Amino acid sequence: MSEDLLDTQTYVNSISLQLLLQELVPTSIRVSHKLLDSTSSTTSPSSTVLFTDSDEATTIDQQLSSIPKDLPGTVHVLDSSLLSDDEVTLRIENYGYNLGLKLADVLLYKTNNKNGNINNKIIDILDIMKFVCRDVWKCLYNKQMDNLRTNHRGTFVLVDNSYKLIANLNSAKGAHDTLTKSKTYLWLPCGIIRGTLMNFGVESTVTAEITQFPAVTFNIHTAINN
Amino acid sequence: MKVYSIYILNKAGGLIYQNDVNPGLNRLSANDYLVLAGTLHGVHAIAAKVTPTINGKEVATNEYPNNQNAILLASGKLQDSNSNKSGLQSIETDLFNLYIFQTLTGIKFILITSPNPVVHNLQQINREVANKGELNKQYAQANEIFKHLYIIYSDYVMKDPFYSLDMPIKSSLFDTKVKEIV
Amino acid sequence: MSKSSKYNGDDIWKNNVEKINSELFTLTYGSVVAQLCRDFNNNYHEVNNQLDKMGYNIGLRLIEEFLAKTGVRRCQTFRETSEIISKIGFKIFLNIVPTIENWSSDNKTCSLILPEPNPLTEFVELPITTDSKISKELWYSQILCGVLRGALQMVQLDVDVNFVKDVLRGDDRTEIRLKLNKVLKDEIPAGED
Repeated sequence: MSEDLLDTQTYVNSISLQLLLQELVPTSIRVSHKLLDSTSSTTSPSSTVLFTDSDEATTIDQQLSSIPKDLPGTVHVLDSSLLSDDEVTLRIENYGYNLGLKLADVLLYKTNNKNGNINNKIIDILDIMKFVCRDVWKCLYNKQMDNLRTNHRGTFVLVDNSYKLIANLNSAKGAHDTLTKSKTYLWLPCGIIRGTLMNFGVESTVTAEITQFPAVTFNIHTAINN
Repeated sequence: MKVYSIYILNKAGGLIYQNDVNPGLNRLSANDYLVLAGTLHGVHAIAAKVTPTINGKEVATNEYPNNQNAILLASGKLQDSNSNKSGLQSIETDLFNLYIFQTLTGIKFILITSPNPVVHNLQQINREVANKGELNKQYAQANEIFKHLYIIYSDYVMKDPFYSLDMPIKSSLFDTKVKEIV
Repeated sequence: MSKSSKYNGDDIWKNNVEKINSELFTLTYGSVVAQLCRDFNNNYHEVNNQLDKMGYNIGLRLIEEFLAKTGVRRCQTFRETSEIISKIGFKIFLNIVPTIENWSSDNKTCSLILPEPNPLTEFVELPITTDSKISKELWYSQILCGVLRGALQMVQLDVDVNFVKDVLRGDDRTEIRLKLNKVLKDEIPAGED
């Protein structure tokens, strides 16, 4: 990194982001739960207003949602049947999508500034994928993607051998439970990749699988023959 | 100093973690471990109430600087995070030593270690002094372990999104990190 | 106090903290707030409350990180607490140092003034001209209040934390009000002194 970039670059503690990311899944479940509750109960005449019209300060003994035992500091919310429901996963994917869309802009701007030339070297889809593997991943996880493969017909496979977002996950109920719950967390990076590609005008579908915990394989399908 | 066992107690005195990192202690039944944890929790608390007095005035048992926050603010450097000042800090026996560390949030870390080394070839008169030095040294070593334990607890237990506060810690990742420390 | 302000949590921030680009943090948080606004169809009270809950849960966990990596001890006064929050807490986690002012005469209420720009709101602009409701209802950085309230609860302090002003709403500054309700003496662990 060059000197002048360091001057303008500001930083925050990576733990601040890590803790924020941790809360995305529980929040998505709570939001989905609340929205589903409200649509199902509008049919009943006795339903009162489910949405609040005032600000409430969270306290230690307050239910965070109508999901059973969802109290601060606990993780019962993750046992909700909504965990792998589309309602929740689409929401998480969307956080990622919007982030990827904007992050790509910021990173492109920065790399251009750094190299001092306006023509960035991204000309074809493979360059875009390399951008994801290098620049985006580096910014997100301080490391690069470990492997990039393509069938040259628009399908790409990206592998991270130790994916940071799930590496620390550890369910008290055992490895199987860890795996099941981890899958929901993976919709965030899927969204980030899809958002980044969209920034270059490339439509895609992105899915992820845990090959050997915590290694993750991202499968990207585009309509572009490369 | 050899560490035999590490226990972690939640703020209510419940045993949430137990790891025999080195062989040397008899194994207890699961229930006995809970009793041990509860007992230590209680003794620690009652010890805080048994404060020596001289002529009715409390004697400062505090061997730490009580302006630690000011030092932290001035230096910006990491300070000792053990807030166990007047509670039971250590038990010294011929067969094992036990140390207790407590955080501001009320979590207790407990270490059971090998006893102080016996000093043989010193004259009787010096023995007490030498042993005292060993004890302090071992206490300092224990405190160093506690510092790292607290950091990995905050890194690998608190940042595990599947972990519920105050519940038993079942994490192989944390186990590995604990082993690396001792 | 003025003598110490030069250092703050600098040493810990420089040497013991893994850092990330603040834009990444800003964009991630922005993406969450925007999505919540869409989800709740611009019911901003709901948005504030969800952000507060997120923050509260973060605070409950973040406090151990904070204590383990700084060695902060129990504060003797709320003034000391506020100084620790600003110069050590905000410094280490967000790399900013809010100023503390507006003390009440009983020393239990004060304001944290966040510097601008700060890592939550940089590059953010609310559509306050087209959506008049947003400038009256949304507290964009409400998550901070949750974090502070949750973290302080864990060290047995019952504190009200809420925004009273926000530059994003068109106010002259961004101000968080802290009010110490009580020290939860019964819950303070035995053996501290």
